[in-house]
Amino acid sequence: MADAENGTSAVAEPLDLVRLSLDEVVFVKLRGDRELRGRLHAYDSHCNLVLGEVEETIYVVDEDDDDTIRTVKKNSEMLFVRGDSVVIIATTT
Amino acid sequence: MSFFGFNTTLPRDRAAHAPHPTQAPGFSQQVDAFAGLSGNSNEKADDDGYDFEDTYDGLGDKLDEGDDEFNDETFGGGNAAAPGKDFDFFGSTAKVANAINEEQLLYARGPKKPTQPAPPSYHQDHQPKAPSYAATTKPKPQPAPKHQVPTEIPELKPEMSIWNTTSPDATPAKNLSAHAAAHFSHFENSLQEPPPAQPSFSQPAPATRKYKSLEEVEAEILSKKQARLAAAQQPSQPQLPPHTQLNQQDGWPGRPVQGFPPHPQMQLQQPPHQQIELPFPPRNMPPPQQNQRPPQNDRTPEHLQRGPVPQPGPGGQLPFPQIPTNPQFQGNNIPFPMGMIPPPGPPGPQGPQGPQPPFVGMPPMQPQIMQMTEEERVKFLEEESKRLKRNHKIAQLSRYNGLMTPSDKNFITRIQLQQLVSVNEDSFNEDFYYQVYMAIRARNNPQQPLNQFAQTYLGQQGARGGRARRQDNHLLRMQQQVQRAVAAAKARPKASQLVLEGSLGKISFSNVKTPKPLLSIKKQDSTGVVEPGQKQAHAFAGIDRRSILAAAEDIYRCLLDLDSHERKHPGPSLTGQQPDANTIQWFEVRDALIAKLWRSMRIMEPIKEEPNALHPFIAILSVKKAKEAIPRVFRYIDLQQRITILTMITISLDQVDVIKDGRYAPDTLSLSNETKKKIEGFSQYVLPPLLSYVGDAQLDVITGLLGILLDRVNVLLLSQTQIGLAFLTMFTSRAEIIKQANQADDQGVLKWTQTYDRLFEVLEDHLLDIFPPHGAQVDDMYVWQFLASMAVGANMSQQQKMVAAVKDRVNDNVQASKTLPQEMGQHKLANTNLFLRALGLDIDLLLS
Amino acid sequence: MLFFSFFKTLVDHEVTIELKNDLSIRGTLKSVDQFLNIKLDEIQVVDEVKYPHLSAVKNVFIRGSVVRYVHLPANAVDTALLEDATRREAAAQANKAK
Repeated sequence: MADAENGTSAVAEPLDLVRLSLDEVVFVKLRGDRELRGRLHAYDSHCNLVLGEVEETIYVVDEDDDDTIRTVKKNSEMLFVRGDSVVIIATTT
Repeated sequence: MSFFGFNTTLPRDRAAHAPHPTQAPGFSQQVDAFAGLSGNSNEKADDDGYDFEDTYDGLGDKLDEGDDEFNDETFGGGNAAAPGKDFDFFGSTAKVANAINEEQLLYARGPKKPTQPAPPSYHQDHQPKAPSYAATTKPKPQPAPKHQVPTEIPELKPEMSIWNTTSPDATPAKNLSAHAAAHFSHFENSLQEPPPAQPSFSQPAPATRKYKSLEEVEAEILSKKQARLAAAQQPSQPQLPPHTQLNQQDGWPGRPVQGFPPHPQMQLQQPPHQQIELPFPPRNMPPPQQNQRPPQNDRTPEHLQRGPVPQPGPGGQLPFPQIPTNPQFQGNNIPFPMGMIPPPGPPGPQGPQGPQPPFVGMPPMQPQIMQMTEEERVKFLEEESKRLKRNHKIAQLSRYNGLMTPSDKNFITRIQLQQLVSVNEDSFNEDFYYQVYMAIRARNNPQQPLNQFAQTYLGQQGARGGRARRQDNHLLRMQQQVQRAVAAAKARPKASQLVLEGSLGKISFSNVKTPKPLLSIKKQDSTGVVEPGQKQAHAFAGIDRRSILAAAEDIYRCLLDLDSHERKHPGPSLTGQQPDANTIQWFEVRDALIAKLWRSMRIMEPIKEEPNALHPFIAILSVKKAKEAIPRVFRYIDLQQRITILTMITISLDQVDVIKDGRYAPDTLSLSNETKKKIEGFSQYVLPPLLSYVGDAQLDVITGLLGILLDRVNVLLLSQTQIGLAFLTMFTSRAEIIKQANQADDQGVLKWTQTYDRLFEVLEDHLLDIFPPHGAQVDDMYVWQFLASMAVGANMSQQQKMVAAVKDRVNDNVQASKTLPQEMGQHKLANTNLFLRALGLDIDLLLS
Repeated sequence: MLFFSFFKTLVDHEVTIELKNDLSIRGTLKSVDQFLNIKLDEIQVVDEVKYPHLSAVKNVFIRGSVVRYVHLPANAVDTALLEDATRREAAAQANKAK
């Protein structure tokens, strides 16, 4: 891969992958059946994040309606996400 | 044994002062300086089985117990009258206790005079003595505290209190005399550990002092006698006793010999105090004394009989009558020359200051001081006090000597260094966001000096909450350039343009088809440091997204390194001055970093000839953050590198994402949100630095760039995108400005006109297509800007073609502006008018 | 320290903190510490009907660990700067690891 050759940006640890996604739209899966999609502006080693133009999707089990799963969507222009809720950070294309 | 009272006192002592015995391994046992740290646990463990015999080294067994019958005689226990009242410690001392106190007070007051700074030394001398009194004169333990008042050295204070606490230990053996007490205290001393951490810490030192005081008391007697004799015999003729100074050097170590066998650990135990007192004991004790007192005497009755010697205590009040008797008595038991040595000397320095017997307080000093002149004395005293203070300080500091091993210290030092480094280096990184953010905010206050770091980000301030504003800013700049071109064209007589056109005649296309490219792309390969192209080519053989992102991050890493390096700028060197090595080195590093940055942009990689081959730089540029990096890159790179970037973008313009995706698909009224954002980002970050470069470019460069566009790029496609039109506008308007400012020679103008005509030819039938679709909710200002810049450079027929092509669009705009809100309508009209004015018309003509 | 540094710039801005128990509190950020504990003034519970028990409280100290989100005012965030700060932090971490 290109990273192997060009020294400086070699992906040495998992968070280096996240660094590549700085200022890009990322997908974040959280505890509690929540997902976020937004532009990554900051992260640290605890997976604390700052996302811009975020769309949050919450999956709720609707007990009234035969336990079907419905989704709740919320938007936020700028969101700090505490790292201990984060499960997955994925890049999107 | 029983004489010492150990058997009786120790158990009690144990109860009262548990620490003493538990840590009393014996005289000669090595003292562990750190034992005290764990002292308490030790203590408990040993407590039960502890006995004096366990810790006593057995020296006492060697004592001759047979002479105990003389004890009474010696100490007046059975028949006080028999040996004479001199041996009645308690009685006689108590009688004079008040006098002693008074004298001590008087003495204490005296030395405070500024001319005699030495008092501290006297006090120190004195103090040990006072405690000994306290110990023996049970009813009056107070003298010590009083005594303490004038002391300048606080360290001695605890000792006083100790005296009061230890005296009970000593007193039980009523007849035992101070000497016995001294012995015991000596035990204590050696038994007790010095560790500062120990709760009973305050005791050891004082205990030692108790012992010392006995010796000093003896010495005092001697000195008093000397003083007396001196005063009587030759008050005005000082005589220097040579031993005083000498003893200062060898004095203290000799002392144990006198009273006890030397106990190394004792010495070890109390270095602080030793150091402090070092000078005094010798002064108190004439050398002969040391010599004549064999260590063996230590615990023998004869030696104990010496006990009375300290009696000088009473001497405080009536020193003279008693002193003669003491030496005599001692003389009987041992060759004690004290009484026989009459070093004559005048009264002590205090003499003149008060009526009190001068020597009472400070006999030890007298022999020396008395023989000095006033000046010398003052000087001596000053030096003495200085030295004492210093010694005291050293002593205090040395108390904790050896607490840490060298490796401990090493460790601490490393931690400290690390912190230092991190404070200097990391603090900015750690708090980078806050620092720079605040610096930028502070720019609202123009007084604030511009933080060098903030500078990097100031250009992007618009990004924060003001994207639209920034966009306007870019369009505004473009508009300004166009307007300048239009204005210049209007200022010029219209005829000249026609004349020019006419004089040139029809331009042959065969000539123009292969315009000489003024910018050689190949030339870039020779520019400076080039990374192995092979490797780069390989790196981007398959341009996947991750590689592109990684490359973009590389650019940022280089930028951040450069930013950090900027911060270390050695500062502007004075004009005309040779830059120093630091500056030179700084620039070298900077150049290296810039070279690295340049490489990280991959712009020097060869352009592949095959169609659809995406150049790495263009690929990287498709990433948002790479676009955002362009202005920052431009801050560092030179003109040559800027034109290289501009050329590279121009050559590959139809491959740039904002062009590729920037066309309106058939039957759509708007672009995708993603593309809009990209266009916005490109306009916001990439165009301005390019525009500012083009704004200074020469005509041949512009001609060359436009020629490249026409040669290699689908200009028709280009013209249907916002960014493509922006590029064309950029070139044409700049060329017009240069032309009209007469900054180019005829040859250059000719070449430009040929290139322009080619462009017009391509576009003339598709002028309507450059507009966004009818009904698209976009600002078509960029289109009118382009038309205006074209119109300025167009000849008469070209202008007519243009008017014919966009006539409907102009009318549409005029009509639309009437239905739109005032502001938007005005904006639309203004856009249109920009073009009309370039043609020499005005929108007012249409409106009326 | 990146986020500590970041939040310091947001002091006196209005934020909405969503806790892990779904409680959302809007208020003025008064202070923050290195653990991202947060002090809010003039608070208002977003869903007052559902969580009436805080209606009398004017200011709160929120332990950092119970926070799920902090909704921020976008115009108070310099994203370019923040990304650079993140890169610096990442580089510093990488250097430390070496």
